[in-house]
Amino acid sequence: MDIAGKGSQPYVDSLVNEIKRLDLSENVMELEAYGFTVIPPSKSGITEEWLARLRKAILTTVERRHELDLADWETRTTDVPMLARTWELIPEDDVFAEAALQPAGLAMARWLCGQTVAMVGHTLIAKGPSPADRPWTQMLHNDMHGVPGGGDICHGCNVSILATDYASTDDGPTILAPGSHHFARAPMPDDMKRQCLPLEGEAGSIAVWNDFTWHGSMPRKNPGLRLTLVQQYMRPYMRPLQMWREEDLAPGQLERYPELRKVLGLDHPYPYHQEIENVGEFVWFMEAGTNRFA
Amino acid sequence: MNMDRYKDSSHYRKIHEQIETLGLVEHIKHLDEFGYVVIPPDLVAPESFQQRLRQAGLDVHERRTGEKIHIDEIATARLAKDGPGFGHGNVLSDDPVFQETVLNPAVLALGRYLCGNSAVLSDVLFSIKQKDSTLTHPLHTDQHGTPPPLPPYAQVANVTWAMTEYTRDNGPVAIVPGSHRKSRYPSLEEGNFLRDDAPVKAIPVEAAAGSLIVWHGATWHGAYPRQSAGLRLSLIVVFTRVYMKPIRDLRNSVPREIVDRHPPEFARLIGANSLYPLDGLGKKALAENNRYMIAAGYNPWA
Repeated sequence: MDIAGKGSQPYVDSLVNEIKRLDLSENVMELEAYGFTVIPPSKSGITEEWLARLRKAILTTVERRHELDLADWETRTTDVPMLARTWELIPEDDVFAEAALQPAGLAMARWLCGQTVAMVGHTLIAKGPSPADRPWTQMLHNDMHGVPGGGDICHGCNVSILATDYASTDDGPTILAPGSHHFARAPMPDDMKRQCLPLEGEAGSIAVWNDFTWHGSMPRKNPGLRLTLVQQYMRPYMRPLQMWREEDLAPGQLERYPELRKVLGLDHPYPYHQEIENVGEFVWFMEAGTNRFA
Repeated sequence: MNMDRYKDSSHYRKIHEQIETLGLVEHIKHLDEFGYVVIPPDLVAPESFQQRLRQAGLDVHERRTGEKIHIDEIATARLAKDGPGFGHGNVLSDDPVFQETVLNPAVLALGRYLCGNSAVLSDVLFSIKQKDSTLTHPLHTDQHGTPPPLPPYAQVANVTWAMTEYTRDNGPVAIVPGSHRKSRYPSLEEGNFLRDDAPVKAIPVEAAAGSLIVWHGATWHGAYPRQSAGLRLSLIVVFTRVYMKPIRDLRNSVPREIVDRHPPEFARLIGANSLYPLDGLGKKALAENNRYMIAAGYNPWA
């Protein structure tokens, strides 16, 4: 039976059709069951050429912002200094805009957080070999900061594009606690012993997890940098990590990628910048409060 | 999620001690059970403050519309413009009395009881309402954009300062008692509570001038049209949980000199030290700011 074809649930019908079209049904199942999934490039359609553009953009941004030379990024044996200036990447290069709109990643974000989900923050990771005495580089945590536990609504999700291979634990991967999103709370000290799985995926994969999923990361032992683009998507009522404005984008970027207007939440009614003249413009926001897929 | 589980915590005790000090213990029981409560004026502020507040509201109206209304004529005045009235948003910076209002112990205690010690202001809005038959506010909740099932804790708290008397004829708030437990937004069919065959009935919330009318963000509420002459004045103070997107960008719109004039909790209320949004290219978040937001994720009263 083609349930989505019956038109009974308009918000979710279009999503179901998009997920089927992109062959992501198995990934949706994993998201629900385990709280995370990895979409290989064979499904996401990310090509080696596009990936090379992403890697170059990440490295160039780090070099320029931190006055570093990363020519040895594939072989270096030391970590890069603590990176602080890693936000607001979209104006740096069009490839970051394309990443925010990547169809497979966006379909997953919309499945978890509804059609009105917005990409409200992103950062890059350039992770080199870790000091030998560091058993973790990040302890287990979730990304739902400030949200008391409970409920089964996913308020936000992480859509990370792996720009280098996550082949083994020596690559310093993210680790995730399968099923921990069902607790819908932050991990407590006793939870640190919970079994975690290291993320595996070839370069060009997209890793997606529910923000309630407990995760951390392991130290990197292999030489070279692990490069990742981390994208945070959230429901429209969430306080964003970053408040995008049109002027934050590079000249012409909005014309080249008009869908950014929706995906970055540029037309969000909050914060009010003028008194509302036409409440109808914000129907989408109100509808998001009536249906988890809206 | 069982909220009682978190009552044996310093976060809850801090709020509850203030509730006890202010004589509001029975009121919060009513709030828990019915999703709203009225706090009488003697537990809120003296009449001299109430008068300052009314005058400040009327001054805002005059500055923004050019229309002067004398404070002694509130009971009989009619606005120059026909219609249900005006809502003047974002008045926090317009007069010191509005800043004193959000720091009023009862206002703050109730905002924090519902949204935790880390509660932040979302908007402060001055409303003037006159005789008009329009149903301006069908039943709704104040937690816009949050899909069902809503969490058991309030994501938003509405603390409305009734600056004039609220009676059935004065166009009061309409409340559906206990509706915060429905955990959802009312449907379109449920919105019009005035219809004879309305599927959901509301009650008018009557309150003496100077009272606070407080409701949980998930409580279904609306507004009765005003049937009597004169004006209903109110100041609507909206709190949200620290993770929610505020209606106003108060941290960037309240002038620095106003922030400096008040205790540090004022800065925190307007989100001046909120972890998000990250400014610039990713400022190094202050550990303290980080800590209180993270703590709010472990305890609904944090």
